Amino acid sequence: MWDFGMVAMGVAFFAIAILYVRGCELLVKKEPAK
Amino acid sequence: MTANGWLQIGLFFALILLCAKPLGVYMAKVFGREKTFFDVVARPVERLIYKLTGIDEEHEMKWTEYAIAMLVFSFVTMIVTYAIERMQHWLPLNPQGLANVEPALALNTAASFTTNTNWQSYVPEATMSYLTQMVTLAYHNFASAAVGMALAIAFVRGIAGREKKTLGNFWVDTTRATLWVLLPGSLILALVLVSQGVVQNFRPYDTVPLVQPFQAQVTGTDGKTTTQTISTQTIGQGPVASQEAIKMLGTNGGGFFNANSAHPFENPNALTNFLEMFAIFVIPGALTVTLGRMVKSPGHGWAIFAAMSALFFAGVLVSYWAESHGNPLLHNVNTAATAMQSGGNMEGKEVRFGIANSALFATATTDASCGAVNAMHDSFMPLGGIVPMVNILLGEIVFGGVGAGLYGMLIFVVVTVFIAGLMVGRTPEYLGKKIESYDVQMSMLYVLIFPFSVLLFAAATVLMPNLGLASLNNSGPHGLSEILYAYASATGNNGSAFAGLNANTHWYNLSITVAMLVGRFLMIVPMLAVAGNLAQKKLVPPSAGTFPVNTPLFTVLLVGVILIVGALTFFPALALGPILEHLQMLAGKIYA
Repeated sequence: MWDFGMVAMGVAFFAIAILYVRGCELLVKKEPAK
Repeated sequence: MTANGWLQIGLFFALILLCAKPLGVYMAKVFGREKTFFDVVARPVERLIYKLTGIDEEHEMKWTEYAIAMLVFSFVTMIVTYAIERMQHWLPLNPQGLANVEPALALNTAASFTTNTNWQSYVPEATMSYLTQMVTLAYHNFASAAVGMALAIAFVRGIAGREKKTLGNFWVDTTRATLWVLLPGSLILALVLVSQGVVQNFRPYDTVPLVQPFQAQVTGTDGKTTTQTISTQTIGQGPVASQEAIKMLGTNGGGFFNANSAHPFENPNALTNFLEMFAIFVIPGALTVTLGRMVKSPGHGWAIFAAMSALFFAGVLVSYWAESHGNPLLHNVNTAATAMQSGGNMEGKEVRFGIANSALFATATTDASCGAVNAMHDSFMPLGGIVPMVNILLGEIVFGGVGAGLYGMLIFVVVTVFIAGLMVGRTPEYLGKKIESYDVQMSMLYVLIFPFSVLLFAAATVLMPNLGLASLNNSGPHGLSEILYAYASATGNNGSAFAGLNANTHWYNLSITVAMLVGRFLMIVPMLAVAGNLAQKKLVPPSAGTFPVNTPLFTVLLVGVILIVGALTFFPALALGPILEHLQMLAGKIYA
């Protein structure tokens, strides 16, 4: 049970990190680089 | 302070300076895929790795692909590490029959080594089998350092690129950092360490009789405390040298033994102590030259080297001065070094190497994100202890971790150039690239995530008497320093402990795990976003209004920005911790 919780914590963090990459990417598209 | 001490500090710095150019040029060639003398050995191995793993070495990645490759690689290796820790009792190379690592501690350790932090909430020789130490922890010492170097090079390519959408290939950069730099460097250092007495074996631990048995209070498994005569000592063994070399060269810092670099099997003499400190700074120092060469502005690389050097000497001066003077409350104790009493104020120091080498080691290990220790930072004077803490709180950009120090410093360069632009009322430019709102937004996101994690976790911890404060060994401002240091060290991916804090509890293991992951990955992503955005910009020809980034003025402004950002962010917390402790000590009050 503990193992499941620990791995779930790791999965959750890295899933958020990948969404965060996408978020930062979306921000740059609002303002095309000159 | 003594002339001998300053001579050793000067010799240390001179060697870093001497090696910066040749190693920096070599690394620029490695990452630029130019010919090097080591190709004959490393290139066939590299080709074989790509063939076995199906990596296309010509494939170029956008910053998002680079970031996701890094995240996936880190996640997979972290989970494998967790699994091995949890199963080590049933796996080979465990002559002591050590138990499986408890879940929260296993996750904390897996995250710690994946993020190049090497925070250790455990006693390594009593917790980790030889297999765990080698296959997971030492492996991460290489991998996390190589990832840091790859990321720094990706940022440098972003600065150097002209209207490009890509930053290189994560797998190629990580592989080349390992094969061309970290493996050969570690092999040489490990052999030198073995020649000096660092152990390298798979033997079970030795049990030896004590020359002088003593009596001690021992608490049994039933919780009852009895007085026992201790007449034997267990002496840890293991494959130490191979792990020690990359521990220092990769600015990892996780010791094979609990005493870390104060253990004679990790750091047996003055020469190994010198080499271990040298190994912390040699790659980060040289990476500034790599930067200068890759962006075709060697002066810029040296200007950054100069900024790092100024901050390094400021730190070592304060630390050495504070530790040499000792505690003024000990009026009747002679803390001056004499012919009869070597050392002086030896509280918390590495007694074999003296005050200068304790202060220098503490400064270097926290300037970089190493975290190895040869002295007890918790036992330093308040102003001596503030130096490692401030070094971490400034973002470990004084040479810094391999790669991580350089990209952290380059984010401050972007902020500095932006502020310089504001001062003269022109659009800021950095080496011919216009710095625009997105670059500044992402740079500030990078800068702000760090204090957000440190201060939030530290504040939450001091508000929880049972979960947070119960682990403290000291009260008052010193206790606050212990908590603040723990979260700064975790978020900064340093890994050294102020000590005085039992961090092997569920709260500390899990909150420090999150702090380490946030401090590594949530800071890397905006950094890569800046790099990706810079890479696709056109070059603007320099004009009369361009702020040159290779002058002493730039160096002074960069140091000023770093200090002002650090002071504005952390001064209130430092005032309640080490500064208050120092003032109260002068007023005659200390905290037990």
